[in-house]
Amino acid sequence: MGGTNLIAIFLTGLITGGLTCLAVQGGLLAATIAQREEQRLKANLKKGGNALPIISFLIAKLTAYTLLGLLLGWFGSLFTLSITARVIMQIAVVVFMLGTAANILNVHPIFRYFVIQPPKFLTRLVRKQSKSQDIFAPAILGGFTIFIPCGTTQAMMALAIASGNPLLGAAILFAFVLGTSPVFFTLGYFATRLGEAMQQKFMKVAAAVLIVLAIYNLNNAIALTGSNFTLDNLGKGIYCTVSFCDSVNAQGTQNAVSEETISIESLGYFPNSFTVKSGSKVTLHLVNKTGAGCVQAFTIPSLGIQKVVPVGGSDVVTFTAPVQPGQIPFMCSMGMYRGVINVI
Amino acid sequence: MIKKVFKISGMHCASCAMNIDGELEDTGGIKESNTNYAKSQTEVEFDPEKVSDKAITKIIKKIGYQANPIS
Repeated sequence: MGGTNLIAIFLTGLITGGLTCLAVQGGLLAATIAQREEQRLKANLKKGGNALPIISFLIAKLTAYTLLGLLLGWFGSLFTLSITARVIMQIAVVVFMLGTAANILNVHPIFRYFVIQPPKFLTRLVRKQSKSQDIFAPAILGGFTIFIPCGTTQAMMALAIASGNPLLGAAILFAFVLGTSPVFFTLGYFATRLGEAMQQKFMKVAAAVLIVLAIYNLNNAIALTGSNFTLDNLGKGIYCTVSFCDSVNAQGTQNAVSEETISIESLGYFPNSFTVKSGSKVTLHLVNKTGAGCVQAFTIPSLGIQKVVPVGGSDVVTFTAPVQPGQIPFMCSMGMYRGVINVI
Repeated sequence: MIKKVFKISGMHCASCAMNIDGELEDTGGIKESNTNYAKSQTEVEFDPEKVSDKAITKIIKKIGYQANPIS
């Protein structure tokens, strides 16, 4: 997963994530601070509270979620052996995201079941912690918030599982929770509550962002099936029908090769388009220079090929090109970075 | 001790259920409260001599939700 996508996740957290969870987690945080320095807090409420407990809460929360992401990514990696499993997983994430969005928008009460309610003993544990007068209480509480994730957070957790990579999973939740922090800090510091109307508005934004993320993931899942019917390809098709860009495409295709070196970089595969002869034997040299994340997992869905090339490593893939001329898409394991092999 | 189910409206996430449970269980006379977000209802076990239906509804209303006894 590239930096751009992590930035999108960070922004999701920044705009919406903090608010969808604030009702409870913010309340718990305020309660913890109040337990410890009730008098001081009361006296200073207008001027703002003490930043230290809030910061320790937020750092603990960030650490806990990053570790959780690591764990979820690792958990996801256990199931990522086959491309089919990945497609199913990714579609499940899409369904979960859409269900969460539908619940936020109150489309139908049935969507409430998409929200996973943590078991009672965990919620009791978290609540008990918020009453503690211990100096470390805010930090422990921050760590405990992983047990009471709200809608958007759960969707991000699903995304971390689907990433199928511990480091990527950690990065996803780190970016998201980091994004939620400014809102938490501000509202925690001034011990204010957001008005109901404001909250409703932000929830709508949260739902919209979730739907966009869901469509993006669905598109990746489609690509991963080896189908050419991705949204960008459809868009290109429509564009080309209008502007006759086929001729440009033809110029872009190079001479047929039997050997090609593909460089794996953080922004994708280079070259991301080359031509081979139908029925010929093709050798691909995969060289990973700077590609961390899912770009490492070079995948050709229609040929059932998947090779993981770690940063600094290289590998070789050989296959026989199909007899039928056409296009064979290749991509990373999440279908995000894509390229195409033209068979002529 | 008796058990009673209340219909709750206004919960927008599973953690709201936690708020309701916490608030009710901190009230004298209430032994246990089990709020289910998906079903939008809460099952409260309480001593009717110490707390009334009305008091329970009031507590829930105070923290921002609507409640009505079902059974």
